[in-house]
Amino acid sequence: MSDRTPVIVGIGLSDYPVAPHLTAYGHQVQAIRRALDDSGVSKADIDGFMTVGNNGFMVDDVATMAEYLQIRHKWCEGTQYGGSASEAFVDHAAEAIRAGKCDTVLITYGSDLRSNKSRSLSMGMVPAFDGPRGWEQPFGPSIMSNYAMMAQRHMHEFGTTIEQLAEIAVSTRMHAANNPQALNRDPLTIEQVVSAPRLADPFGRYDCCLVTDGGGAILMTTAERAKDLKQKPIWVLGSAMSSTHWNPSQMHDMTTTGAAVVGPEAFARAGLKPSDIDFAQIYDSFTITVMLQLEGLGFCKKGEGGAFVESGILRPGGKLPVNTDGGGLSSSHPGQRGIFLLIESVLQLRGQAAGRQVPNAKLGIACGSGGMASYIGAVILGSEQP
Amino acid sequence: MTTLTKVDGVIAGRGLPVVDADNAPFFEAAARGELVIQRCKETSQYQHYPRAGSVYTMGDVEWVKVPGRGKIYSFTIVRKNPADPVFAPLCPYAIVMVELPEGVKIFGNLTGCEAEDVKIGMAVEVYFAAADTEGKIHLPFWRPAA
Repeated sequence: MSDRTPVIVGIGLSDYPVAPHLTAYGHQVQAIRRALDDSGVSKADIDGFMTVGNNGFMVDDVATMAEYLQIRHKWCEGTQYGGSASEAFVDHAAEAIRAGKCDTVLITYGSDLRSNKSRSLSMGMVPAFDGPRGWEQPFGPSIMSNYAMMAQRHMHEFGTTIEQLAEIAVSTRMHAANNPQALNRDPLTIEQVVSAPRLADPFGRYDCCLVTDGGGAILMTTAERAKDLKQKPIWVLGSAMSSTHWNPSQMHDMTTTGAAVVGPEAFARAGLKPSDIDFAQIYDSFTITVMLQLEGLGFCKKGEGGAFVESGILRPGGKLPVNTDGGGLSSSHPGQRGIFLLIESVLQLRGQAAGRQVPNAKLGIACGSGGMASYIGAVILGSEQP
Repeated sequence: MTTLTKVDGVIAGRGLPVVDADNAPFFEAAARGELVIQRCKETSQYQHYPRAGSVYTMGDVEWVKVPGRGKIYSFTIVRKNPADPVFAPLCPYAIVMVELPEGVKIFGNLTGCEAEDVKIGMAVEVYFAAADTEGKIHLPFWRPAA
């Protein structure tokens, strides 16, 4: 009987962080071409397709992009899970492959958010808000201000300091220094982070992710099919996805995210625990986003994120290197960077991460966060067959 | 001290809520200067924002007038918001999440104090201001409790 265990067999990143020569569509095409070359899969083999389109909007949905790319499929998904979309897609693709609904799934994302000035993630200038969003949008929130309020609450409840949050920006910058493609590679100190002018208390600019171009493509298939392909397969050991709210006022408390749901689920499905993990790629839209996910996933207890990161554990050479490509804070953030978390994880597990390779990396986790920490998706990946 | 912009009332370009069958009683009360929130008829638990049914049971809700006093659960001072053409020129302004004793949180703006005075746990009270020139929609705002 053929082995339908789902594996990742191909990855491709388009040119990032600044690529004025590529449209959002061009990012997708280039990333797909690179993933096909990387894996040895031919385009005609693809029979499952997943995308949220371009730039983090529903502008070019799964139907439009399947048309543009001419991907004929018998299984698809385009649910907008924001920055956790790619993690959710791997979770769902794994089940579809296992169930025999399709054999080869393509996951894509592309964005020209930095170079195409007509694009913006701004929440302003909407004349009217129907339904739930009408209870917050009239009061002038930004994505940053929403996360800032989570950070304020964490500081109040647990005594977390801005220096501890700053350590996340500093450790991420240290990783970026090892990635020649990262946008910001100059050394950064805690003093610099905390003394930068505040944008939305308690955040200054270094607490916030970049705006860049970039895209990615991932190919998944069965372990059986992978035997004939170019790369050592990377195994999807456990994954889970959840959404808990959209509007921050509807969070049960402002310091708990869906990571507290998907962490235990994903680890249970993988038969692993957080201390088994060699590295983590954790969505860093803001410094607090990382801390809330680390706590929720179980790398430390709730409320202890400050002391946990302060130890330097997230830095290169630390016990839990986090965002080894330099993350959204220092390398790239093309609207949604969930796919970057997975691709960096695969590079690490293949041993192809060059100057930023985590020695002996066998188990990693990619955890995406979308919206206002509204959706969280976690994928535990391994280099060895389970 | 940093003076906060008083962002209540009419602001050109501010996106306003759409009044519909689910939320009309809220805005009718708001026009009278009263805060009403929904309560589940079966469990007596409160919920906000207004919905077509109880989040606890999907059963019926009733509207209850409440005093409109609560505590700041979290806040931020927005000092720069360049991506929002409506609010960018109004910085700095305060956004607060207010927790009411009824057990719900309400999102809004705090006015009437300096930025340095805003603290989690601070007692605040609601007031309403018309947010459109025709006076059709009144929004809730918050100020330090008297």
